[in-house]
Parts: sequence; C-alpha cells; structure tokens
Amino acid sequence: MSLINRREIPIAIGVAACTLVIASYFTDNASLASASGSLQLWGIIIAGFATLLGLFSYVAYNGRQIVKKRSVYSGVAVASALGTIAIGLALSPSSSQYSWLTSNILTPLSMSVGSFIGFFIVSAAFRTFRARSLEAGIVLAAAAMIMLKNMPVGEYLLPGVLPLGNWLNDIVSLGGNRGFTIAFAVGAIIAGVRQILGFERGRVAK
Amino acid sequence: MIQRIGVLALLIFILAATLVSLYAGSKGRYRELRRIPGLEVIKEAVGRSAEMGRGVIFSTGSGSGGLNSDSAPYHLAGLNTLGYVANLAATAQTPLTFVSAYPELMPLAQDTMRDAYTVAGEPEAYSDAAVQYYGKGWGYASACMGRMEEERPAAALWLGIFWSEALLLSETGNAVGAFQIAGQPDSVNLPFQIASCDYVLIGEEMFVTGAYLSGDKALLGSVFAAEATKVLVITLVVGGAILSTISVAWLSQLLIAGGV
Repeated sequence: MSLINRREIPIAIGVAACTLVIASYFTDNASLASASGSLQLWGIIIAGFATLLGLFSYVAYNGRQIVKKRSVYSGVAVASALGTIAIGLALSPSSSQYSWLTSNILTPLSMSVGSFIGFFIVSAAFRTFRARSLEAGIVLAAAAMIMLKNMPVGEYLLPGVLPLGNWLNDIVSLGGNRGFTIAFAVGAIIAGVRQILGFERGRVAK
Repeated sequence: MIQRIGVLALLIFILAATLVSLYAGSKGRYRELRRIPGLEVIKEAVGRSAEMGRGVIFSTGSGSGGLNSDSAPYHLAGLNTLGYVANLAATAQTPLTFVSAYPELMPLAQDTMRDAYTVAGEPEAYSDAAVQYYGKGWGYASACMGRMEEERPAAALWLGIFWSEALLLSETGNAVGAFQIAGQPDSVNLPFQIASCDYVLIGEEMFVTGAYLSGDKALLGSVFAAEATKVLVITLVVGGAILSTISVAWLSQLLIAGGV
C-alpha cells in the first residue's frame, strides 16, 4: 500500500493548517502569527484563482446555451460579464466608466431583484398565518401583535399593544434567537473539531 | 504567553468531550439519534423528482462569503449533505444541479458529486457541468430563480447560509412546485424558509447530517459531545444569570477576562 495515500495526505495537511491557525489565535508568538497570516493569505490567493474557474464555468454553460439557441439571455449574460471585465482591465475599476456601469446598471438591477422580497413576504405570510394548528395560531397571534405595535394607530386600536409587542420582541424573540445562535455555534465548533481530527471525510476522495 | 484563557478552556473541553465521545461511539456506546424529519425526507424528495422526471437543485447559499469567511462551516456542512443527495440522484437517475455562489466551492462540489456518482455505480452519468457558478448576492439569486423557472425542479435543497436571497429562492421553489428542504444559521432569514419550505433543519441539525445519514458510530458519538457542550453553556448562562441577579459578579468577570 502506498504511503502517499490520496485520503490521508489532504487530511494531514488540513489538520496541520488548522492547528497552526488556532495556536496563533491563543498565543502572541510572532512566528506563529506570521505563519498563520501566510496560510490565510494562501487561502485568499487560491480563492482568487478559483474565480477564473468560476468564470470559465459561467461562460462555458452560457456558451452552450447560445450555441443550442436555448436562451437569448445567455448571450446578454456573457456579453455583460466579459464587457465588465474588459472595461475594468482596460480602464481600472476606479474609472468613471466602470463606476457608471456599477451605478447605472448593476445597482438598479440589484434593487429590482431585491424589491421582489416585498411581494414574496406577502405570499409567504399568507401561507404561514393560516391558523391550522396551535403552533400556527400562536405565530399568527404574535405576528398580529407585532404588526399592530408597528402601526401608527396600533396603540389606539388596541391599548397596551406597544409594551406587549416590545416584550415579545425584546424577551421572547431575543431569548429564542440567542438559544438558536448558541446551539448553532456549538454545532459549528464540534463540526470544526471533527474536521481538524480528520473524522469529517465527506469531501475527501474515497 | 497564552491569551483568551476562557475560550481556550472551552475549546479544550469540547476537544476532550469530542475525543471521548468519538471513542465511546466507535465502541457502540451510542446507537441512534432522535428522528430528524428534514434529513429523513431527502430520499423521498429525490425519489419524487425521479418519478416526475424532473431534476433536483442544491445550493449552499451566498451568505457573508465563501470558504475564506465565517460562512465556511455552513458551506461545508451543506457540501457534506451534497454527497448523500448526489448518491441518491445517481441511483435514481435524476439530474442534480449544484449552484455555487463562490467559485472555490466548485471543485469541492465537483469532487463530492463525482465520488458519489462513482460509488453509486454511475460514473458516466456525472458531468462537471452539473456544478454551476452564478456569482454572489442578487445576481446569484436571480440566476437561481431563472433556472428554477426554466427547469422546474421537483426538489430543492437549500442547506448552507442564506441571507436576503433566502425568501427569493424558497418562494420561487414553492411557485414551481418543488419539494423544499432548507437549513441555515441566520435567524433573521430562517423564518422565511420555514414559511416557504416543506422541511427545515433547525439549529445544529445541519451539522449532524454526516453522522445521521452515514450511521457512522464514531460520528454518532460526536453528537453527544455537542449535547454535553450545550449542557455546559446552559449551566454557565443560568449560573451567570443567577449569580449576577444576587450581585455576585465573579463568574461573568471571569468569562469576560477569559475572552468568552
């Protein structure tokens, strides 16, 4: 059996890198800090190269769509991506032309997509607030309180809704949120420890 | 000079608890986890896609960043489930698409899917084109929405970290009739997924997918370590609240000085 195993070597590299970065966090050793900083910089550089992979995949997929005449939007997507890159490379991202692209095309398009959220909230809320069970009823009652609390005439329509809404927000919701955050953080730490110890092997070749 | 004593003590506790529970787990000390419906229905979701002759879409979301950010554990947790889903999709011969918001996730996803298809005995069914990169933020969201409208997948899995794109994706999935399973740490956007998706993994459920789906005894043990840590944290929180209420501040001061 080869000592250079496809599975053990990546795990060993991962364990060593994780241990070094963690050790530098808990000490003020300059050498460790420097090595940890270099490792993290390598990560950024690798991610930078991965962008090329992403661009290649993006152009290849949309290129196939154009060749097969499936979607005219693929042509718009490729032309936009390559055009933006060309202008950025030729004139620099701080140029007025590049800024024009950002503020006059990207920002309005982004805001348009973002504005869908308002409509989707309504459709999602309609389904959620159908009181088909005790739990759904509690959600509906709490939501009604919060909506009334935020309405200018809420306190007039239902006196006492303001402190009740604040109590729901600041005590019940905040407490639940913190419990959720702690549980998630503990799960993430344990997953990290499994990763460091080499037990989480889902993404390493068999 | 050692710094952040409190965090280090907590990390040593977690490390020790994990090692002990992994060892105890490998000896068969822990036999099973409680039912997690969101994980149990994955097989049903993929089977439904195969029956309907439509595909499955999977993404780990956009969140705050890729593998160089604090979103990394959530992307990796999602990728852990991707292997299982890809194996099911290969067996059921239904197309699976992984949509990535960050290019560095692509090779990991491709490797995971390629392995899963090979293990399922269908290596020729896998293509690198099954992993798509759409950029992050609104561009990613609109591309995912467009793809769902176009291909109308029968199942959608949103496991990772989703910010404002959470509702856009899950409502579009709902509109095209996809069976949706979600899981993520962002408590602001999770309620939107609860409203729109069929099943949602809450809290640390997303991190036990490897143990739950593989049935690996050692990994089952590590779930016990998470429970032990939660008990410790709850004890510290309740103890700290009681002590602070009666004006005894040593515990909170100790934790603050220790960097917790």
